[in-house]
Amino acid sequence: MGSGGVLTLRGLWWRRGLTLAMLAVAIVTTTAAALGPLYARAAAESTLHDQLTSSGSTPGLHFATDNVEAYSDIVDGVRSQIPADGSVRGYPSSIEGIYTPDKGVGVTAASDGSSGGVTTHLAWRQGQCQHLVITSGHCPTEAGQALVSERTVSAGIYGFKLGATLTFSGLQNEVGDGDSSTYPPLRLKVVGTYLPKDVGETYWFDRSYFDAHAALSSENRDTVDSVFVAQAALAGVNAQGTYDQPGFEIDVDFPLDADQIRLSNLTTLKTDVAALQLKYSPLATIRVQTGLTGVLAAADHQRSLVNTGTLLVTLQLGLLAWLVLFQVIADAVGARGNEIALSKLRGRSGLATVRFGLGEPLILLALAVPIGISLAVLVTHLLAAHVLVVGTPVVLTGGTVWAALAAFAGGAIAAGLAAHRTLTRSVLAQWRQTANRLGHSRALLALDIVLAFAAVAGLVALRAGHTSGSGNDSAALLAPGLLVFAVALIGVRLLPLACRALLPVTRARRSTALFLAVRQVARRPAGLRLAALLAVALGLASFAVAGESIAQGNRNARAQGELGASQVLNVLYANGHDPEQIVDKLDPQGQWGMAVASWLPDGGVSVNGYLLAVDASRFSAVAEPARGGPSPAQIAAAIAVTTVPRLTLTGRTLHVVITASGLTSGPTPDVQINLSTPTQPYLNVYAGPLQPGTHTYAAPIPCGATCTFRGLTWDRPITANQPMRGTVTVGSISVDADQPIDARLDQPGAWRSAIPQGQASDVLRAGTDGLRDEFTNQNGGYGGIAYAFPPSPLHAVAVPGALADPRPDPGQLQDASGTTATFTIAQYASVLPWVLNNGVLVDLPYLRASLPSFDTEANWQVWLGPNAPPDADARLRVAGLLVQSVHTVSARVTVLARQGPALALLLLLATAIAGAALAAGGTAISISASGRRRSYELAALRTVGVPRRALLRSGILEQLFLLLTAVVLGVPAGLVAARLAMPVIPQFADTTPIAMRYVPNWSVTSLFTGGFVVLLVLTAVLASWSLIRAAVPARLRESEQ
Amino acid sequence: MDTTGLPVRCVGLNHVYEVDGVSTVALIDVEFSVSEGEAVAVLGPSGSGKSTLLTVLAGLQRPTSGQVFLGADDVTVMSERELLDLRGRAVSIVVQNPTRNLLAYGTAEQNIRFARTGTPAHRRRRLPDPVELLRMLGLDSLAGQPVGRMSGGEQQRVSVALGMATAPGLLLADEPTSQLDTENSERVVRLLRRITAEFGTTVIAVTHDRTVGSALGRMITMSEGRADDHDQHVEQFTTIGNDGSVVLPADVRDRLPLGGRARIVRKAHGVELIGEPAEEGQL
Repeated sequence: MGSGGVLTLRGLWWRRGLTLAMLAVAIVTTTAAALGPLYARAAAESTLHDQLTSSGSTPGLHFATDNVEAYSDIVDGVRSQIPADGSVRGYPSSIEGIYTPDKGVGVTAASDGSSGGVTTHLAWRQGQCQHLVITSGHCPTEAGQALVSERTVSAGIYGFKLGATLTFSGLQNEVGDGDSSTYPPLRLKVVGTYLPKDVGETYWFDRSYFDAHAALSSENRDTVDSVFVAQAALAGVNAQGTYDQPGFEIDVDFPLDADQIRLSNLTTLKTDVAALQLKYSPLATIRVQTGLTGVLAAADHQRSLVNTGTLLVTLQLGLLAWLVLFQVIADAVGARGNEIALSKLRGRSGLATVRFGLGEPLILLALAVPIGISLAVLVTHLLAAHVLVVGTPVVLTGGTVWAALAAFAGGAIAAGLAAHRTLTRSVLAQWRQTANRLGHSRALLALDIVLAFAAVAGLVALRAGHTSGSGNDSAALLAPGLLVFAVALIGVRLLPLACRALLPVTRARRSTALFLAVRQVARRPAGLRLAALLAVALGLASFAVAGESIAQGNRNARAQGELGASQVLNVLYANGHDPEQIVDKLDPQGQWGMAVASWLPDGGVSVNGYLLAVDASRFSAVAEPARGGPSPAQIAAAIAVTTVPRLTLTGRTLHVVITASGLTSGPTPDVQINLSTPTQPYLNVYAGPLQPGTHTYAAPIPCGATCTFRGLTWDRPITANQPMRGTVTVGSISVDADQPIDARLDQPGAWRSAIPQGQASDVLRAGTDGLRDEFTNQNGGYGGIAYAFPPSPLHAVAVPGALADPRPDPGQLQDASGTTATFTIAQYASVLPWVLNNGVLVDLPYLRASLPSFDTEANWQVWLGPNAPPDADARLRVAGLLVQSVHTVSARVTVLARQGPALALLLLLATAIAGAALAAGGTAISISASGRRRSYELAALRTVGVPRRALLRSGILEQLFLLLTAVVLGVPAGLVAARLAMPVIPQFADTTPIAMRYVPNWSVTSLFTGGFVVLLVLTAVLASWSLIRAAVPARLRESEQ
Repeated sequence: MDTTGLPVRCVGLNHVYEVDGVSTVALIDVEFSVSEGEAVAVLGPSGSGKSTLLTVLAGLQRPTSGQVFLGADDVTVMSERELLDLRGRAVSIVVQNPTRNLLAYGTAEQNIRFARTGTPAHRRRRLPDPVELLRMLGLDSLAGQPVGRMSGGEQQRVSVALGMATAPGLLLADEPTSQLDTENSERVVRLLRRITAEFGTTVIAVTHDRTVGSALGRMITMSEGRADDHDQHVEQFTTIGNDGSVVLPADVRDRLPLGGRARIVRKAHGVELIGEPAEEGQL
């Protein structure tokens, strides 16, 4: 190293405090620059991983051949024509399967001789029993065995049960050498029952293994969940012997292993998969399907959002860092003015003087490059560990190095600009500390005008985006920065004017501290630069914190609305267990748990979207609101209907005392008692013909403790051919003759007319003597009276878009058994919990009572509220529920926070903190660098008798003036920017019907900005104190000419 | 050391500068000559124009009119580049405050090397090693010390030595003994004389101190911008500032130290300042 280099290093060491501060600012600048590409890359990796994993089997490779037999050599043949496991990157393993596709096959259970059977898929899938819960029996291991769905069995109406023989009408066992017409139908014995562990699991590749649903019309058969068999069971099955049977589908599915896919090998993946599609598209025998392209397109969209957002955020921080760097280098070079003058005095050339003047900052900037890159890597690792997907790689790319070098170049330019005045003025001017400021002022004015125009343009763009409601413009992230910069840089120009206006006041008050402070601010341009810098930092910090708090609030609101409760457990249950009863038992007070059933009705003509059945009595305590819609309490009040309690019968015989009068001559109606059980929704028991006068009608209760009383039917005998009419009065109802039940016969509204079947009418009146019904019927019609539980119509809260248009009023729901229930809309909403903008909410107990087959068609959940005990999940499992998956608001928030736009906003927050650190550091450096010159002035003031305390007060007052200006300009500018920009800054990668709010979390925002201001005040006070300490009279000797 | 003294000749020098719209005449028709190898002191009260004269001689500012010949070259018509070359090669200036002459973080040796960076390479090769130069000037004991840690006297002597770093033909010194006690002041004067005697360098030193002037030999006095090129006895003058401030000659400052108090006694034709000891705790 030459003597010049040694001298430069000695100079750096001599000014080590300033050196360290400059290095710190340079490092922060370089880190900020390098952080952008690093973070963008990591965030893109994370969103790619999220996109791939959340897409389930969609990006997987699905090879299939159709219309074939299921011989094992066919499977081997398919295998030989497709890529081997692991030969395509990202697809390390495969799952083989055999399946009856499309409409499935008809199957009849041996015990069900009457019905036409059901439709199902006969399936084998490699490793299937590891993905099923065997609830009884065992997994099929050999030919002739079948595993059937627990819910098919528990429906009780199909004849499926353990030990039953299933006969498949479309499949034949190849026996002997005869032609296929002689083959017997395939018969399998039920050896076990199952529940799927998770129907959404990638393993199932989105195939309709579990899509039990009722037939749409009486001509069709209900569909039940797949029947699983061992592979051997399909080897000798002829699947092409009958009409409308397409044979088997042989599948080889390759799930995508998202952990193997990185941005670096994405191109290879796309190329490989495209080549595969090209290779197999001409083949008729084997087809390949994948949704990879769509998934990657979505990932690309997120990546573009991350990249744009990150770039804009980085630019803002870069600009702030550049300003700080400019300020610091200007002060540092200014402090070396005498040394630079000395260089000129010694006859060094202009280039040598520039090299001498800029050597120190350039060395520090160069040193900051590797340190900044390393720090950026570290910060990105930290962010990746806490915010991004676990295991997200942090890749140092060329872009990162270029960004760091760009920071160096920007720093060098800042150094050049900052040092220009010092380097170009004459030796004498340097000694006298004078310069022609006219050109400088003009340049600043031009900068202000450009900024003002840019800010106005930004505001117009924001306003336009806000009006159009696009809410999807990452470039809007730049507008807040422009606004803040414009307000700060232009606003500080008013400070000297304000101070000049204060001058007479300070003279009148005779306060030396105030007198000095105001004059310092009025005449000191460096102070204004500092105030502008602080205003920018404060503005950006306020915007970032307010913006992130807004985004955080919206993420929470969206997660709450999408889930409906703090925790949502998707559950299955075995026969004999009831989620509603289990929750009632565990939480009798209704404080924390609620059984919920979702249903996509395929019967009825009124609802297009989801129907969500919730417990109105628990909804307020458990559910979270969907922002923009009614509150849980409002929903609960709307769907709850005041009605009578359920009448559950216990005993052996039901006795009904009926007085009949005015009966038409001829045959009289038969009295039927309407009951329901979990397996028989409509159980009618004959109680004898209606007779004039008062009689007790008795009938057996065939269902024990689980029997629910529904009403009485006056059933018209088939032999009657004349209209019937009469008046019946039900006086009392009792069980086993001596146990009266409170049927509320004297209570208006406790009973209603039964839905007439054919031509019939009933007119009811409740009185002290009982319930009187004036009935008529004719032409085969009949009516009766119905106990008003469940209420009818049900009350619903609905999103208009989820309802059929037109629809009957009241609306109608129909379950698998064909039972119908009516509903009326008690309240419309724009968005509702869980169903969002595509559903209807009704009361679960009422719906179950109205539609008994609803249970087997619905998907069940348990919602846990904020008061749920920590072991609620475990308690539910112990109680018999099979928890398939658990979704929590916090987990959903985490996922939403990993979406591209959120990651860009998070970076903004991180940069705001860096900006705050920069501004605090810049303040300290600026005060320190100008300390020597200021100390001469202060020493002179002390010499002429100004007390030290007054000088300290004036120093602090001066800094507080600057800080106050920065706060007054920066904080409102940041908050206004947040209010204007957030509606057009994308917060999610997709749209949501949840209403967005743009009010920041005031406590968080105030805490951050308050803390920042305190930090700056402390910095300023300490720096002022240090300055006053250095202002001793001996200092004046140094300043003498 | 291979040096050749540079003759200096000022012809009709006038200089007017403007501050806050007010024109001030700093030099009025200054004319004098200095032979090569001669040591000259420029004496005069504050505001008499002597420092302005020095900066004009160094080419740091151009006079309003007149000529300055250093050897055969007229400084007043040189370009900035030529002036830089001149200062790197033939003219050296030692300014009043040591902190403006020295890089505080460098050693004396490093400062000399730094001072030579403006000197053309072929000339620099002929210059003695910095330590050798310091030895020649009797300052070799200070060679390795950072100047920031030296005393005021040592810094001033190193400053003068730095003036000789490029073996200039002309050494200009502005108040080389100000802020120094008598002993250090004498050392600096001895150093200047040695430079003239041993190296033949022309020395022009601006000073308030008549003792320094006497020690250097020839004196040029400045008064209100005019130069009197005669070795005559000069009263010590000071100028009364607009605000009533008075700059005390350096040789009496020890009697009225900085921060001390002075009692003002009115006399028939003026005032008398009588120093009083500082009270405890007072600045």
